[in-house]
Amino acid sequence: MKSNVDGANLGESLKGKTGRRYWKSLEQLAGTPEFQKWVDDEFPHRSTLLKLDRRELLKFMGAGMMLAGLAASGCRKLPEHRVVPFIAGPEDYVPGKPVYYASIATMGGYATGVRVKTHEGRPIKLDGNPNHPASLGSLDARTQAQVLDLYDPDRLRMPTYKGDPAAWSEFFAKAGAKLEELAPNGGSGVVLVTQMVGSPTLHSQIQNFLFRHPAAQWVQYEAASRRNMIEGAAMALSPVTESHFRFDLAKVVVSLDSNVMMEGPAAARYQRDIMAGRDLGSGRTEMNRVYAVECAPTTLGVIADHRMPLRASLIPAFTRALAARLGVAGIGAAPAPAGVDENWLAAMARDLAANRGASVVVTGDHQPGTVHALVHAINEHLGNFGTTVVHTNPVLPKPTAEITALGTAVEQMKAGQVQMVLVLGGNPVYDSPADIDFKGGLDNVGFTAHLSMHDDETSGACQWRLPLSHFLEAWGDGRAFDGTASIQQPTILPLYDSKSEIEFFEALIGGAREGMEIVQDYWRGAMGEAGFDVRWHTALGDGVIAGTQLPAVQSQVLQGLGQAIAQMDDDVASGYEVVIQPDPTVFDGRFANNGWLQELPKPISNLTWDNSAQMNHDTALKLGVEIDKKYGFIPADREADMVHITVDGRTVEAAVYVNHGMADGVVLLHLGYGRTRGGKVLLPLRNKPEDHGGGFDAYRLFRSGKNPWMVVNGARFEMAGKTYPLANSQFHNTIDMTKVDSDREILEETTLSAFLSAEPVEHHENPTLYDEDMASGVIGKSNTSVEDMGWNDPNQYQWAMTIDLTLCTGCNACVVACQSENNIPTVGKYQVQRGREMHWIRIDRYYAGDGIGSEWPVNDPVIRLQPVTCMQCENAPCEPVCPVAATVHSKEGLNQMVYNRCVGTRYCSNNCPYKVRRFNFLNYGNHDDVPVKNLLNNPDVTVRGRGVMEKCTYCVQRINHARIEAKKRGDKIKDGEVTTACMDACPSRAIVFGNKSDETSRVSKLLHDKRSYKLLDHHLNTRPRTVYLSRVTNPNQEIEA
Amino acid sequence: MPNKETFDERILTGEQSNAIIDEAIGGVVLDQKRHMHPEIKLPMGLKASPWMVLLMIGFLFVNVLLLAITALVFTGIGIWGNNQPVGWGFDIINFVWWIGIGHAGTLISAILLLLRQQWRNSINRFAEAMTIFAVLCAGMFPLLHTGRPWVAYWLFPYPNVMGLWPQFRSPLIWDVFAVSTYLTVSLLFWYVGLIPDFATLRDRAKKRAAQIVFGILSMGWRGSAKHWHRYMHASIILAGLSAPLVLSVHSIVSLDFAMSIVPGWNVTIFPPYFVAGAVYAGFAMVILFAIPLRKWYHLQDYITMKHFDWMSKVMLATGLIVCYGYAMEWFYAWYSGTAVEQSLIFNKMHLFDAPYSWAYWLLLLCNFAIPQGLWFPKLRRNFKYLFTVCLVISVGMWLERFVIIPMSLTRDYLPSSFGYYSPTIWDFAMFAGTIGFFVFMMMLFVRFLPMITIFEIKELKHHLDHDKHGHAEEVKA
Amino acid sequence: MAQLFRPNANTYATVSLIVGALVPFSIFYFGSTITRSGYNTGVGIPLDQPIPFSHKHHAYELGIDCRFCHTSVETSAVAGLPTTEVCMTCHSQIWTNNPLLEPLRVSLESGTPLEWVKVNRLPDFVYFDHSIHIAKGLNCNVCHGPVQDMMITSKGRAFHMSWCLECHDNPEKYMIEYKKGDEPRKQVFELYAKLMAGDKLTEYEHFLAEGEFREIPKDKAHEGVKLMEARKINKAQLADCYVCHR
Repeated sequence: MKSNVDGANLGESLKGKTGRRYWKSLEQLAGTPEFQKWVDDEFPHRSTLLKLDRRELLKFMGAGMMLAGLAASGCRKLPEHRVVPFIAGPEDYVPGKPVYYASIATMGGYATGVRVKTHEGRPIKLDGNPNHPASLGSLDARTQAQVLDLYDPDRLRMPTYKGDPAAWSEFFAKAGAKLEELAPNGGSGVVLVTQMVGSPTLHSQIQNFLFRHPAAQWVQYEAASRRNMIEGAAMALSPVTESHFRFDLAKVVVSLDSNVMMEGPAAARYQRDIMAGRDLGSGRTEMNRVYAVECAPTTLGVIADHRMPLRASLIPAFTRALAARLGVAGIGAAPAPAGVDENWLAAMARDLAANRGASVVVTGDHQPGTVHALVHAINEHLGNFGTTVVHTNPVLPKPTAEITALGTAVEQMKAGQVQMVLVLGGNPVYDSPADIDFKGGLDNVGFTAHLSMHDDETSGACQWRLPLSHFLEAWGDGRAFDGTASIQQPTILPLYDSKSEIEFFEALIGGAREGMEIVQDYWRGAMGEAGFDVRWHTALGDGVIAGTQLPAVQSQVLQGLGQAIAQMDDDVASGYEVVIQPDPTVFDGRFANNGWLQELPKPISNLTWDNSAQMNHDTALKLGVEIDKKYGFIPADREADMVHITVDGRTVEAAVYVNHGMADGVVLLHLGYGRTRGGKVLLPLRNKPEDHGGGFDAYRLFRSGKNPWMVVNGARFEMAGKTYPLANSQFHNTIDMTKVDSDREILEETTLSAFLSAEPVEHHENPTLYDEDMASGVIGKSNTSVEDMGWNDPNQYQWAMTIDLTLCTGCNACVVACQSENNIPTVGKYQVQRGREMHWIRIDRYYAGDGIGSEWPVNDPVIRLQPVTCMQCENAPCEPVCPVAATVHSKEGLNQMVYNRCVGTRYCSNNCPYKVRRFNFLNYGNHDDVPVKNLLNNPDVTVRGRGVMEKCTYCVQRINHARIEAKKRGDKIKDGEVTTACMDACPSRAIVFGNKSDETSRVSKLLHDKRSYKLLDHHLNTRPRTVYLSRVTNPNQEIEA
Repeated sequence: MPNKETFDERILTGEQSNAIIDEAIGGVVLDQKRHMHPEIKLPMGLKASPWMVLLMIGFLFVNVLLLAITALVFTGIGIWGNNQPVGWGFDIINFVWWIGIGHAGTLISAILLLLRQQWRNSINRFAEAMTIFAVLCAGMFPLLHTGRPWVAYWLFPYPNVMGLWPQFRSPLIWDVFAVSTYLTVSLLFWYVGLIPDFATLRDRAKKRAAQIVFGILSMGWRGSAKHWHRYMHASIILAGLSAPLVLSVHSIVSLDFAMSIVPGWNVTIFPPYFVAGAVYAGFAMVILFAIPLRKWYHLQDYITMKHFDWMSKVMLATGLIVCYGYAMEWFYAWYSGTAVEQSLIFNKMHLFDAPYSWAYWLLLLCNFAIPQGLWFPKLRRNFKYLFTVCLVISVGMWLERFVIIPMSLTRDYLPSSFGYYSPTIWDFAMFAGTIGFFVFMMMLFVRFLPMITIFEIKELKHHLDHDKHGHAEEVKA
Repeated sequence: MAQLFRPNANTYATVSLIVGALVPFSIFYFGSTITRSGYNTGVGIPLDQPIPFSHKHHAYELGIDCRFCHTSVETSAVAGLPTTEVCMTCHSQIWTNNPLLEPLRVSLESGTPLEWVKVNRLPDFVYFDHSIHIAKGLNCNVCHGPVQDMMITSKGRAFHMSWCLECHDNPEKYMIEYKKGDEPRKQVFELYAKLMAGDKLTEYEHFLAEGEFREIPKDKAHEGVKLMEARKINKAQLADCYVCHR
């Protein structure tokens, strides 16, 4: 702890200019009372740990509030404040201005480039790095949310031995001695357990370690690994390679139960490429066509032109049938599996064949290796190899997780052949397959240590609990999906007495180098001395190391693969089948203590805080879920029935959630919940259990066998006779495109052909009897015309936004971006159940079908998404009703919300037809007892207190900065100079923001697009500034779409 | 209580003289014993009077109210059931309901005075008292429903260092003025009306303390012709002032909804519809108190069956206006032809798919079906029926606000934002607390102030005697 | 029966009625007076600092430019405070043993920053940007009062919102050139140059130096308008709430 504060020694060693900056910034940070407060106290929350209740919890999550802020009313004395200047100012640092760094976030061994925004030395936001292939400037929800983990008060703060505080030096002394002792027999009995290792430096260190201790074992394990993909490649390809997709070149995309836009190391990039192929914004007249055959609705399925729900266990048969239709060698004749429409399949096959070399067929990581192999064969047959499907050597030194090796290691532990286990990161006790008793193994070992950010299940089972540095605190490196290497540079000194894996290994082998030296030394070796410093600094600046992308390699499908696969008979489910997947938000459980991700509505299901047993309506009925007498179906807004699911004698108790659009007989479980240790957010609280879900632990059904992701047969189900409250941010709302709701004109859609043939519609003003003056919040104005309102005064900036419904996949990246940019608090499960979540932007999910009448349930519904945030109505209903003029209209056409003027009558929210205003029913934002959280706040945005209304204002803080800079330059804000957080984050570039009085700006072009329409404007004449571009699909004419 | 009393057209019965009237009404205040019976047997051999019991219950709930308010101010609106999309729930329901209760008082005292309705004399005093207490209850809610009550003073226009004024186009600001004016005028009117009675009490009081207190309150009233002259002018002017208030206050309250664009709120008929509803509820409450009070304090001679007859007829009339309003809602839905309006009615009425339809049908039962009995004189004079009907109407009027306020909010324009509203224990605590406060104040009023205008009854008796002896009625100055 | 009140009771009655009527007004009056008083706003009340730093001495008598210490005032939202090293540029040479400067030396040796007491503080929901006000040529004294005369620095203005609005509503009324033809950014510091040089000040400049806040003289009104246009000040947009509140 103390070593953080006088970072002098480290500061000296970091003589690089970047290095010095951190040191200074920390010093400044050290001046802040928050920092002092917990520097003085080793365990600042000793007290709160004892008396923890819901309010406490809320304080632990989300952003903090400077009390003086909103509480300060007209006649109140402000408290005396201190200002603390530097000792010596860093030369290139301007107080009050943010500084940006390029770095990487690593998951599953693969790196994604991030741009870290730091304010006064505090990292406060993660954006994508435009130079990085896996990001291209946008960033998925999970990665963005990791900035919250940095300030997680539940992080391990210092090494402990059997619960007692200890020093790193002690640990390394003990570990060193142990290694010495085991040295004679080559370090046999030493087991290293790591997550997927992608970092070249770390890998070289591990190799180095294994060189010194040849008999030591290194087991690499992560639950969500791409095992089946590698297996498929091994089965099909020579040489064995890793394949990447060029979706930007693909005209036809067929997804066989995969979601390339949500899973895998290139998810964000693939989303960008696929959606770029569907973007009609820039005058393009052609779209790619997406077919999705899937067991559960995915973001890819939602945007697909043709979607077919199909059991996961039928996908192999379906793939074979497809291969047969395409004439892949050796398959022969293969019938389409039961329930599949022959014409559908045939039409799709024809479509593929017609687009040789310009199509991609992909399958999901949870599908068995045979399917991956056959998909390779199909792609090669379609001539996609070398065009849309690119092969490189595997990026990771060890491309796959070693479940079997883990199993044998555990056996040895139990047999007492292991003396020392070092677990670096990860949480195997929690996330190893149920039939591998990792804890039992650890209990049998003399020396166990766990390097981890949290005191989680594995730490609990180890003697040494060692704090791991957050990636924003440490030096490192990593490779992207295509091999491009990047340097991970820290943006703040470690908040606690923690070490990164790299520093850990350095110390373990008795080295004395600091993180930066270690990484630099490695790359000096890799790049060569010549001009290293220059290349190093370029690499730091760009966030990528030029020319490190892996070269494409030629790879063919093995002869006779077709026959081989044709022979295989895959097992098909006789009853219900269980599909297990990493959770869309908390993933494999590593983000379970992250409030943002816990409260982030999961794509399509919109569940928060829990996982569930998802199935379609029929399956739920067959399992014995009670239908609601009143509604005639199973409503989403009542307590969910619980079901017991038993596999191999292990049972989990899960709440049933009806997820419309899933395939019959499939039960989908998500990993990552049911955690028992590792933080306050992931645990149900003692006194207020309803406040956290916590969910159930699906790992109990996760087996080390051939394909852990599916339990095709042998799962038993019985109703538990209990119910469980699920917190759903949105019920099953439906829109019948044909009936009553149709004239609400909420969603508009068309097909590509119709769109191209359609005449451009001229945009007419709505006729109105409504007194225009009512639209201006400006007090004392009277009889002012539309122009005087400045609504469209061309001399002012007129901000506007378009949201392209064709491109929105519902990935939620925008929601987290907004939360992080605007200090939006999280509220906890109970408050979400009450309908009080605070997200400023929400993604509405509609099912086509009459939500009220008897037509429920729909098992294959049309699913439509619509991001909704404040529309910035020119004629805003919220404005005239506010008694204190806290929400008024600006000259630039924004609907301003003045938090400190708000008295909280909630009238504006009642009168808002879009219901985009959010009210602080409780003091969600405040956590003065967790000051470390305040470091995360964006200083450019007021933190709202209790009793205040808040909403989106187009990231007005960014507009203001741009305006001021432009004024100082003496010109106007250029198009693209101001972006909103949601726009930055969106991987499919669905959101465009800009100045509509500038005719040349992108947004004003889109506003005049044929597709543009204004939500509810037709009824209410609200004149929204946020305009939607109606959804365009590109259905295959041969299929009845 | 007796079910039937012999009905005659008289509004003042029994052998009367000024002394008898003074004793019958003034005595209630001056003589503590009058509050000690009828005697009620309580468990454990305790004895109490209805007055004591009601006072105690009232006091209990006043404390509940204080507790609820403290919890609210220290924790936040979050302890209530309000949410997205339902920004207003019990808070505004109760506000509107209480404001409504108050209306009968003003109507009786102002409009009936201007119309020279003699039957108002016996009921105006405690009806006006109810008005004031009801407005006090109502006033709490707009204040406390704000997220930050400590800055609620921003709703008042005053020169401030922020250089800001309130938003005068917001109906909530109109409320501020409407309600505060209403309270002020009602208080004045009430007090002025009390002055001559204070004098009577001062003169009849035995205890020195009472004499002094009433002496100060009566402001040196000596009943001289000049006093009476001034007094008549004052009361006519005040009546003139408050007559429009009867209509304006609830019209403005109704504009909180009519001015918005929420389907189910945005209805042009609201002002008259709300006023009628207010009078409806108001008279119900008057009868609820009149029936027991006249019994307990032996005031049958002054509040006769005729009074109840009149009041029942007023209720019947206003009740029908309210029901007309309900009918209009169906018409709108059909005539507007817009989805939102139609699904709104659907959402109100559909027995199965609409979560709150129970409230709507219960409302029709309470406000339409049951009160229709008032057409029949026999039922109008049946106290059991009358008392129940008045209870039912009070419930019904509360339900009406429930149906209008939260129900409309749960289903507005975007189906994605459809929500539910479920009140919490604190919502009920606040509501029960205000009722307790109301009862408590009424009991104090009964104890310390004459619940019927003594001098007006005397005046009335004078007139009646004259009429009896065939003299022409002399007109007062 | 016995007389209840003596005749003078009438007087009491009348008086009490009048007083009763006055009470609310007086409460309101005193309330608003206190709000605006220095007691509440802290205007003109020197705060004791770790080191009794004198702007009068440094800025006026020695004539050190504001920007020497407040480095980021032209570029950033915050003006910035001098780092210990900046102080030491001079004080390593002069007053090296002055006891008053002990905290400074300690700070440098121990590496613990000085903690000054904030004089001009805005609530957290107000976002003020120095750089843009400088860029438009607004003199420091307009908001900070007669800084160049302050022995110990004190608050120059109450920073009431209404006061901010006076200028944001009608910027032209506060636009003035201290030296013809200079770019706005330079204008800011001309006033001090004049003071130092002892030049003749216009009446307005004089009042500004004294720290009095007032509009430019009526006869200069048209110049103000011209300046506002020359400096590209977007009057229409200047009073939008989110210019200061986000």
